[in-house]
Amino acid sequence: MAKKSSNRIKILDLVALVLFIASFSPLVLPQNETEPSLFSIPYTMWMGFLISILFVVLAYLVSLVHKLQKNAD
Amino acid sequence: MLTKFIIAGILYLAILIFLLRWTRIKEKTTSSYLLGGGSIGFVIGLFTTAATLFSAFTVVGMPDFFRTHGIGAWIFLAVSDTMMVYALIRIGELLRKKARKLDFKGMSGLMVSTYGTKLAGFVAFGGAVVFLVPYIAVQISGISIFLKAAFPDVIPVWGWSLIIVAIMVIYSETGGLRAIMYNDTLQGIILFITIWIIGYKCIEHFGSISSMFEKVASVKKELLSVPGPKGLFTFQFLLISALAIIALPFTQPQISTRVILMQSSKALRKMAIGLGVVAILVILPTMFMGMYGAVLYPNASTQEFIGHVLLYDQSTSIAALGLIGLIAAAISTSDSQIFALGSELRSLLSMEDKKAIMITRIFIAVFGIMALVFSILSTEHLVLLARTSFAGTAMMAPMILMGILSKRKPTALLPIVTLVALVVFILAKARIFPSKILELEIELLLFLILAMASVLEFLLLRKHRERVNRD
Repeated sequence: MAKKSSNRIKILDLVALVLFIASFSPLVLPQNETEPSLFSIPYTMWMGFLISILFVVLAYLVSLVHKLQKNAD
Repeated sequence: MLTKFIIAGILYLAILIFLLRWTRIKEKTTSSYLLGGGSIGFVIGLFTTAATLFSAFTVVGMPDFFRTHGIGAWIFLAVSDTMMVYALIRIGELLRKKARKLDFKGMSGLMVSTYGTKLAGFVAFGGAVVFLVPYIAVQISGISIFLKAAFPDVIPVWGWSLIIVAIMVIYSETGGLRAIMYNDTLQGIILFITIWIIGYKCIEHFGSISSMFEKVASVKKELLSVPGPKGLFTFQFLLISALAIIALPFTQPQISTRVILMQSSKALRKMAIGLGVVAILVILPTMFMGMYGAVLYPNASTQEFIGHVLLYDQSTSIAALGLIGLIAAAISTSDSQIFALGSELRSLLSMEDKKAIMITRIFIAVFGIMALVFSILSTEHLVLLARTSFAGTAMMAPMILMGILSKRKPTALLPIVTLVALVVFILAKARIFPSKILELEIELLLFLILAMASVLEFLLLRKHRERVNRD
């Protein structure tokens, strides 16, 4: 059980790290580029918004795994 | 509007007095006064942490940041804040475990215990004072200048600053941390409602979010991409900002105290996720306000723009609510920070509790006076000074994280390297030391050096463990 949750945390950490790196790469931050826009929302804005949501989802998922572990209470 | 503002102001003060009476502590001890009784539930925890994070800096600074530098401001703050939430869940629990084991009174005291040297505590305390006092000051001065612009010929700028600091110090001195947390909750609710009403009205002006961006594109297309019209949002700028913001729950004592005092691990997890959602919901309307300003007031000064978007373009009732929200934001964030500095000082004092609390209360007033003096003198831009504060305290992150994560006592290597990094950073900000070395921003270079020192410390600890195991 402990090994399983430790593996899950490692996977989530890896996803978070990849997302972190992608957030500062030209994939999210193309210089002086507004396309492809989404409903006229410029690319970096909707992509940035999506990343924010993804980090909250990742935080939720990691909190579910933490719930199973021994805590400070 | 003055009448409505006075009515709203009196109402706000009445609620503050009620909160003070409700949370009044007869016997002021470290636990009851500085640590708020030691247990915060999810709802209060969420509001108090959010209010401490999103303050005047967000409401006044961020719309102007979006207006001037464009949508890259979303990556600067919203994306970084949600990254911070992930780090908070991952490391917050370890911080709580360590704090409970070592009788937490403040991060500086915790560092003394974990490193076994007072130097670590003094570095943590010194870093907090140096980077928080100017940040508190610039918030107070920003709101005071704005109030002066809203009500010319009523009270001078320094008078508004004095009123804000006086309310803040009296409130903190009397009520302690629990009263501050209730005020944070009140402020959070006022501010959240106000900025969403104003944000909605900004979208309403354009008809829809799509037409808002289309209009901005026709006025200044550079606002819709990075690095923005002034080239601010470079890769290095955004990366340094993200690293600084991710470290906030561990490096800024007003936030780490709240993390540690959460009632349970479950409450901490719920608070952290709630914080991520609140970050998105708070920053989104400031983006609408910024885009509105980019179209309607592209060449106005910050004060003129904020004056229009928060006051003159709104009904008098919303404007009065907005003003009270701003004052509340400045007071609640600043009193949390000043109070945290007091707690940090207390954690370094080894003496009878009653005497230590008395000294702490004196210093809370001293920090308030320091912030007042700085606020009268300061002229810096709000968001950029906030970022300097975040980056400055982030220099302490490797030292603090090593202290939290390490099972053994680390050597004095990281406190020493951190002290040097802080001095270099301050010298660079004062333009005595170069702010860039080989195209690398000084903050990034210092982060790299601190990271290398952390790796070295880790290797030293491992070697020590292997030697102990062998023996």
